[in-house]
Amino acid sequence: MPEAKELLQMLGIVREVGVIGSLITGALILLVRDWRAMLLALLGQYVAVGFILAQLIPPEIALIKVLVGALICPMLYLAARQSGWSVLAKVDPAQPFSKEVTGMRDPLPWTGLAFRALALCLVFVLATVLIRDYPLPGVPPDVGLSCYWLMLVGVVVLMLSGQPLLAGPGLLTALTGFELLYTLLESSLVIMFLLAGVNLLLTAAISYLAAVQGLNALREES
Amino acid sequence: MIDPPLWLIILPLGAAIPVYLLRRWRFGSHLAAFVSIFAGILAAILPPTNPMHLVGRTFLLDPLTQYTLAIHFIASAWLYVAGQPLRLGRHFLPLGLCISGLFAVAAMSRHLAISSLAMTLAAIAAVPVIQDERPGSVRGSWRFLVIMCLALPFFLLAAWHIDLYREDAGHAVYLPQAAVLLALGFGLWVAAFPVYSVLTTISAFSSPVSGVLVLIGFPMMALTLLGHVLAEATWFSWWEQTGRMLLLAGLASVTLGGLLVSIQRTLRAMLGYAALFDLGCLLIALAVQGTQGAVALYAGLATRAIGLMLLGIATDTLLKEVGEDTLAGLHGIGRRQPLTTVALTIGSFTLTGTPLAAGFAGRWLMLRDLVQLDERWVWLVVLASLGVVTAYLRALYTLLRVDKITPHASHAALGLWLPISVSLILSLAAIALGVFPNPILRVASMLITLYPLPRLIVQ
Repeated sequence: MPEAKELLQMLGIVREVGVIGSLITGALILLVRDWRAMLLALLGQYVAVGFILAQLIPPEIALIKVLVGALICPMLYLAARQSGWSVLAKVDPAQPFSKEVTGMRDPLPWTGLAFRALALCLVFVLATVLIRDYPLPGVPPDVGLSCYWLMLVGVVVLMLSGQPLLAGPGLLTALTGFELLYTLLESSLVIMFLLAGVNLLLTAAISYLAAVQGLNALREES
Repeated sequence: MIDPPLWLIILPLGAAIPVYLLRRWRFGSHLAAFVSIFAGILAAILPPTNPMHLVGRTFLLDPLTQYTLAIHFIASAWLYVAGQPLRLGRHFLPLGLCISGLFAVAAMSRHLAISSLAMTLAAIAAVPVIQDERPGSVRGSWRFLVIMCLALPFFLLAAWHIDLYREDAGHAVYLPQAAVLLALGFGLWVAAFPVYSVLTTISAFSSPVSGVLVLIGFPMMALTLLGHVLAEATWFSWWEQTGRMLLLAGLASVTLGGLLVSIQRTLRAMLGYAALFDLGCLLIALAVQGTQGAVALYAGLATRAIGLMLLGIATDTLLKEVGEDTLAGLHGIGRRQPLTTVALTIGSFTLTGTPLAAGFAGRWLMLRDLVQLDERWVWLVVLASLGVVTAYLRALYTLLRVDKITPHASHAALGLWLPISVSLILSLAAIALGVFPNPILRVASMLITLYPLPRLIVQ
């Protein structure tokens, strides 16, 4: 029976595919405001990061990262569903958390698609400048670009939204970018497991907050 | 055989499950309070121990950790007792215990990566505590979660740099980077200027008692870990720069807190800005240590807990009694709740360091140290204190007004005698420590001998 690493090589999955995948999924998380598409992009991102890591660290550890990601996305999905996704689904995807639904004022009403596309371009330029001027130690340049890209995209998503269900994937993306770097530097299994625990519990906290907001939305509707 | 300090981790974490099951009954809160107070006494009286090894990492119960954990555990116990009749959410007691256990892990660990991960887990556990099952805005808990999680990468990278240096001194070239990363991480954790809005939103959007649990614990543990780095890290040598940064952040926090508290219209928002003001004073006390070392800081940590508990319990009692905490809606309520009104006033005086309140001695020492550096800064702190005092005197005036009594639908069927009794005891303690500050100053002086912090700004 082939080992996981051989299996990945047999499938022809290489690091570059993971890097491109992380760039695309990061861009989607910033551009798309429909939370369902965002969750799919987040799932894709964990798989892409898993592909990158599988080439650089023992595949078993890379697999843990993918499994954590595979748990995170359903948790967020279930939270959104349990908190009344029917209410959220009725709303314009461009403004899923308008004042009418959440009872809260959208703090950034001008963050339309054009604005986010421009922000995306600037983030890409910044990531390439950073990887050129401040290469990450012990990390191949293409992987370093992915790290910077995911961290910056995550921070920008956090800046553009204050709603847990929309900004939560941004926070998770920023942490994934950091973990991509940190996993290559730190080999301690205790810390890796603790990081996985942080990710899962963080998702539980985001889900909890999303559920609270969903209940608010349902209350508004009734 | 389990090392005795490990009980400080095991006890609160182990008690969380039975407390969760018993949370609906008063016994649940009493059990949580009993475990917490027992752990607090244990933290205070344990003799010095040798370093322990757990999962390959070193753990040590030093005097500073003993002191801060004892304060946190005992303050938590009071809040658990007072919180049960105030109908806090079902997560308050069990997750409060989990947070305490994780604080013990963070403070005893001598590896920054473990400490920062434990602090982040504690922050995640604090989210339902802050939200407290309330409908409405999630802004306070969300902002807190984001800031605490964003600090984690800085600490993990700093820890990696330090580990490299420990393995090979040739990596000393990375130490300045580690210092910068630590500065960023601690800046986020302490939540002083410029990320102070974390503190103020927690207070404004949470139940006061559960908010106070977070406002006491997290900044205190961040200062404890900063103290460990300053006192124990042999590689750290940027004392002067650290001192200047702490002084700047402290002065900015004090000014903002003192200035903005006076324009707040709700008691919860005022509590957040008063906490910011006091945190600024602690940072100044750490930065500017005079001839007596960090006595002002050590004394300030204890009096901050008393002041915040008083403000939190009193604010929550009024909130439950009236159903709102806007000043406009509290006209005349002070006459129906005189003890709570007194507790609110004494709590604010304790935080501002007014004479005859518990915070006075520590604040006086801090100002005496600060005047050696620059007299103008002393005036700045005094003016900011006046801002906080004025804001709470305005609240007192509103609470006692007889000409414009708002008709209140009494919600007092909850039986608020327990939180009122707790606030009465704490008020008496605050006054006693204000009139006779020797016990707290003696403990702080003892701690200076056992765990001296380096002087950061040489005057």
